Amino acid sequence: MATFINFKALVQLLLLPCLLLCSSIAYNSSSVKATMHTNNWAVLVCTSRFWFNYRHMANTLSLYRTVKRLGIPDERIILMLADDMACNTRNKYPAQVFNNENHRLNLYGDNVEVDYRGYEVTVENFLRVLTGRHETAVPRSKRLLSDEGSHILLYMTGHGGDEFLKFQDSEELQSHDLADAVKQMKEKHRFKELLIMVDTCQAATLFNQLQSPGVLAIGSSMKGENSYSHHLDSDVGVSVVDRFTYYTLAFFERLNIYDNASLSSLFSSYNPSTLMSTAYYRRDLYQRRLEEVPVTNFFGSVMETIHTDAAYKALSRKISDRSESQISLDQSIHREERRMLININVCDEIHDVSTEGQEDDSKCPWSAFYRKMQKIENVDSLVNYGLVAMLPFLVFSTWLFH
Amino acid sequence: MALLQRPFFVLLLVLTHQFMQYWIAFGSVNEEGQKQEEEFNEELLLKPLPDRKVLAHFHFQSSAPPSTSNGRHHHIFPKAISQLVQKFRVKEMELSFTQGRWNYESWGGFDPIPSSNAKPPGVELWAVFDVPQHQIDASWQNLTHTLSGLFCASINFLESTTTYSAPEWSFPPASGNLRYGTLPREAVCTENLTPWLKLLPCRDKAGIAVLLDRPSIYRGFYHSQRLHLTSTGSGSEGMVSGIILEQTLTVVLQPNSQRAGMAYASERHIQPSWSLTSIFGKQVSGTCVLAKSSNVYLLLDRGLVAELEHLHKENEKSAENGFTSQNFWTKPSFELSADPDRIFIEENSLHSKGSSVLYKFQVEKYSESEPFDLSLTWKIPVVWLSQQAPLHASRFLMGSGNERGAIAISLKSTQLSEGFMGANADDERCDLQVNVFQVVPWYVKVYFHSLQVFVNQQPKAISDIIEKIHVSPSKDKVSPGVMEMVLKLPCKVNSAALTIEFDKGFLHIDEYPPDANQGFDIPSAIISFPNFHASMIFLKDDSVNKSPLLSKFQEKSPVMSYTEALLVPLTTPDFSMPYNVITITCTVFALYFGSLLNVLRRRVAEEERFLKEKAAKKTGRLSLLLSKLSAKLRGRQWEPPSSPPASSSFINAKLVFKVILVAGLAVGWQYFFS
Amino acid sequence: MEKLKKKTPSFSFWIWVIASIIFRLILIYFPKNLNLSSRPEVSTPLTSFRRLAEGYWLKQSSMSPYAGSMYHGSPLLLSLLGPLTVKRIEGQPDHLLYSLVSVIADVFSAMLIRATGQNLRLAYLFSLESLDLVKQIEVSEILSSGDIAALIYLWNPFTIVACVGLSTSPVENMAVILCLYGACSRLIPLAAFGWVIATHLSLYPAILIIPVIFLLGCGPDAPPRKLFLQRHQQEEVLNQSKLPLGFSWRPIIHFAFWALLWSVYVLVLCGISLKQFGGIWEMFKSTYGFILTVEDLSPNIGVLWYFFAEVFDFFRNFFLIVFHVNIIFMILPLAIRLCHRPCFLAFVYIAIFSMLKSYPSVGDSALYLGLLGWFVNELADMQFSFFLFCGYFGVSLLSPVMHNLWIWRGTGNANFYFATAMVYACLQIILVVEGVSAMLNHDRKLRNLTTGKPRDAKS
Repeated sequence: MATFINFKALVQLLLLPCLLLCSSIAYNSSSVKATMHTNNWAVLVCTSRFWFNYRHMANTLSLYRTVKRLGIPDERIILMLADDMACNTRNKYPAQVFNNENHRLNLYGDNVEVDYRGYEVTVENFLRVLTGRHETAVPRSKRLLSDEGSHILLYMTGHGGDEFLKFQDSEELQSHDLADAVKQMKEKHRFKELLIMVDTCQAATLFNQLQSPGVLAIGSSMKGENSYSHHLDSDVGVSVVDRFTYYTLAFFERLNIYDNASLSSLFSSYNPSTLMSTAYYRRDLYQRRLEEVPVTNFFGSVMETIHTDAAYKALSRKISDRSESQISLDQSIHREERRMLININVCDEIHDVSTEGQEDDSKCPWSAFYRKMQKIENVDSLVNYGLVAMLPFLVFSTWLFH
Repeated sequence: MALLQRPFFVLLLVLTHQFMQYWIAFGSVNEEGQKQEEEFNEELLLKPLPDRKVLAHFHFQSSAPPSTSNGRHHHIFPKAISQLVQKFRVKEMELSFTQGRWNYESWGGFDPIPSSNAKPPGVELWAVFDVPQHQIDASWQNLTHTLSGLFCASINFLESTTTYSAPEWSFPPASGNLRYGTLPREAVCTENLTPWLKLLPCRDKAGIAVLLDRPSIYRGFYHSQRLHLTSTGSGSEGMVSGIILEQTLTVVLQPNSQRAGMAYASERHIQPSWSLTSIFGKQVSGTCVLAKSSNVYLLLDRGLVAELEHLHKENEKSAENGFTSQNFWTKPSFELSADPDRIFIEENSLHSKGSSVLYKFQVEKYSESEPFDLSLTWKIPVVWLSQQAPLHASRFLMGSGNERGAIAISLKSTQLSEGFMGANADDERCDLQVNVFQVVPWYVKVYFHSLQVFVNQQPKAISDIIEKIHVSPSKDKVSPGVMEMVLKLPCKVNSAALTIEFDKGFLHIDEYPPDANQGFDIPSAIISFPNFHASMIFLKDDSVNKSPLLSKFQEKSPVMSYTEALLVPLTTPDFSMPYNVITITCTVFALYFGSLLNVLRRRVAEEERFLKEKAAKKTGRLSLLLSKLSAKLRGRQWEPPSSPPASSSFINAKLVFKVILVAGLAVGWQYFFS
Repeated sequence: MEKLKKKTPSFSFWIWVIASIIFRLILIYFPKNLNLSSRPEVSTPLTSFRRLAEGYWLKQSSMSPYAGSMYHGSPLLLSLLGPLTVKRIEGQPDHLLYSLVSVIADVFSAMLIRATGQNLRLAYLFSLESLDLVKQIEVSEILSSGDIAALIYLWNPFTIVACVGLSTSPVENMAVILCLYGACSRLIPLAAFGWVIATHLSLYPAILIIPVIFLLGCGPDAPPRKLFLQRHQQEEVLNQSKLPLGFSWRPIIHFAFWALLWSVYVLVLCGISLKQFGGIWEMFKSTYGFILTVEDLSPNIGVLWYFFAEVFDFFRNFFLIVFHVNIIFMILPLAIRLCHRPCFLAFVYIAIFSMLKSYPSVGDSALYLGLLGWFVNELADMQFSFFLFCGYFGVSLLSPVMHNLWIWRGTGNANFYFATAMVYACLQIILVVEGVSAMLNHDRKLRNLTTGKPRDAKS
């Protein structure tokens, strides 16, 4: 019997690595192939500060409104606005932002959730959001909690140039940084598909370094081209929207949440003569055919319903795991406390000893001196006496050596 | 209808009767049985201001009683807040978002509203924690992050130790566990108000909160949204503490008066008439059903009432004096669209000027079909002044240039309060106590020894005026400088000033914000007068106690005011060319090192010998090189003409030794730093 | 004849000294108008008078003087000079007593410089005599370097500005000079005292221990020892009395003992005065730590502030090491090459560290420019001296102008001010390099004279 058990244990031991291997393979293959599109996230970034960049904020907010209208909830949208335009003192319409002269639509309605704003919009924070490397205290609403089934829309607008995008007019996001962040996201299974949409001058150059599969990129202009604003609102006093975003919005305004318009129809809707620049698509990293991908895969949140046999199975295990870890944490805390208590005891003992020593060793001259020192209240005068005593001492010693 | 009769009741001073009515109306909510219920109250206070503006003060209060159960289910009380309180063990906390500056001179500084609701611009957060001393900072930092997520603001900038401080005693809820921080530059907009409204059970869909139309609020001259929470119960084990969450929103709005066109001389003094619709663009169509009480108040402050009384007396001099002076508010010089349900008169008090009057309207009486839209129409011109704090505080910068400067806090006596102080001055030495609390960021390096005090423009010895001072000097890049002072000024003081000099610091290039040339803010200083209490005591009466807003008014809180935030321009280095600076500096250092070493190792004697050799052999260095080169070209081992082979091997050994040394150094470096 | 010659310059010397004192006193009466105490050239975070006063204030209100990042000096200085920052005499300028202390320190330093200079001159004459070069180099041409150095020190505008600008550098300079004087006149306790105090006050004088050891071990400056040996070999006359003494270890041991004694004394005093405020560790952290990590980036006449304001944060530690190593690396080569001239070695060290220190001020330049006067005879052939003089003059005019344009008018740019600091650093480099080179050439000349090759004397 005993031998049998041993044998069994041995087999188990042998099998364990194999199993682990198999399971990891299965996990990998599943992550590559079988993960489904389960959720949608959007990261919308306006990188420009200062009032005259009103249009960049209007661009971002228009996109925000669109994706919200098409079904992405607020908690899955990370909105970064580099400056406050709505309540800016130069804004004639407080708490309102318009992207059109006709002022028909207040983009800054009653329910805007800005996650990063003002000085928080930095390259560092942007990369932290993408890669998910936050400080522990950062609340959930400021994190991109996507997983391997996520479709992410990353929209950025601001002032850019050849392979960079300026943040706050003081620092730059380089195309390498973006590519590295995306690569890291891919390795951490933070997305299934990623659509990067950039409205800035020479936007196409920002995608040069991208390598990760599953990434689709749209830029408003090619290298050497500028992206222009669409029109000026003389009431607000500045341009209110950029051309590329304006025509993107024009495309989406026709859609509702159930429309099946494909990405290729979005791409073909850009007309270089109205944009005054050439929109650029980078699709070599993207596997699916664009004609088959509805825009709501990125700009909305339309999910297939999945039937599962056993509900909450995985979930419950997770929970139990967590509780276990919590218990262990508690234990460790207890241990810590105990140690602290012990320390305190030790300290007390030492203290006792020292006080005893003081009491007992009154004959010892050093302790007597020390106590005398303690008694002297006017330390300053003592120091002054010391300094003054220095002088005769110096003279005497010098005389001695002369 | 009872509604119509009510004025008559009031006229007959049948206060008891009205109380009965009130009891009947609300009596169903009996307190005895349901003390442990969560409660929500919504109130709005409107007040005309002397400079043709209207103050609207929204006050929402939710409370959750302490409970013994471990897990907790909330009916009305916002879960986010209760979780926050449980997690960070917050005893008391206040967070305010403010835009604009409270105009103490014309909007008053003595009432409960300005002294507890006028806030410094930007974000102000303070919190008292119920945790051991060493955990407070960690709790504070986590709290700032949580609040920043909750309210869509960059409150997490208060996490860094350079932005918050721990006042010892000058900040009113004095406690050792207090942390205080402000962000004067923080923008306040819709995205901050929305999550704040989401804490209300009815949000902004029903009840008084419907009035909060974003564009009209943010068009105002001042708006301050505040969230104050107090956790009451004991923090003992098993017991979950009760929480009182008080949310207030104070707005100063300009009613767009309809007769702007006909503002000729006589009409100019007529205060603009307004209604809820004209200032908010909306009206109240019923209460929030979850609210226990839902009231709107109209407050006429002491100055206005005194003025109205005066006018009334003049107009009806012929009439019986006693009667009119008591009942002027029944035939007022203004007209209200709705009849008040009750009128409260302030129980006076030390102030001879008059006592403020409060009209109460109950929103329950109105519905969709008959929405509540209070309007006030002035019939005669009235000019009055609001009651001021004993001293008006303002703060400014002195000096020019970007190297140093001085901060001055000037306190000017407001003539209005003189009489009040005279009444107080029974004893010989009448002193006016003033607390000053000021935080300065570390890059404003304050010289505390340069503190000077001027009373009535005469310099005074510091020990005569400053009774108590506590200073914690700023540490570069670690902590801000905090200064707390208690001043004892003579009552008859006209003006007093404090000046303190500072040097402007220089920051690292990365520490400047993107718009560095705009300057840096010094947060507002807090001036408080602990001997003066801003409170309005109304007739003791149950209904007053029931209303959270009015009971708040009756609390004795010291008069407090905030000074202006200061904008200090700091010198900026050149942001554009750090590389140039680095390379040029390194070049200079290389120049020093190289040239000095060159001078030291040059040996004239050797040169002489070399010259001699050259003279003897006629082979210069060039020819030596040439011969070397030709030897190489010929593919043969070149033999130095003079030097023995031993020296070359020696050189090789030296070279090898050098290489090994360098490699060893590199390895050591790597090892040491890994 | 000789005595007469000596007396006349001495008489005029005293006149000049008194004139300089009077000049200082006159300037002290207009401190408000000059506003020198807040000039970046005069008051660095280490030497600033206002920071001293702030430290004293903090201490008086029973706080650690190092609380906050204001005071970074010694606690002893605080108890010595601190009370003077608040004491006022009615009807007199605010900080009269403090300024008087600076003036006394300056005059005392000048006296010590003079005594040391005379010492050096005697040694020089002695060595010339022992080399039998008295005829070749006319003794009458040898100037009394002590008087010249003292006058340069007293009348140097930098010294005057540092003295009137209420900085603590006169006291620091005095400690350095005391150390050199003690070492030159072989007063070992005095030398040790000066060295310990100077190191305690500003850290960098610690490297002066090398010249002090040479001074104590072999005596003051002389031509290389090899030369004497050569000479005696040549003449084949063994005259031991003319040969300079060899290196003796006895005074060094004495010096070490006294240095230890003084430093223990000083540390105990510091420890007592900082007993309630976090002890002596706090002092090390906010004095030496502050010096070594260049925390304060406010402008001064050095180059490090701007460099560290602009450099990327992750390179900061690297460059801190590089810049401090620059000072340390030069110690050994200079010591090897100039070991026979310890006073000059001390001068070179002082010049180097006042150029490369974290928070340089004109007070430091004043010190080494004053000491330069000791070597007027040896450095007579120095190159570029006129250029250097013009450079110093130009920089000291331009630098305040650029500072004013940048900080006060807002029309200039930090780069302009930094450029003058750069030029100033270059000038100091040229001074050091040329000084060393001239001294080495002088030695060569002497050798050529002794070995009897007058045709190569120029090289």
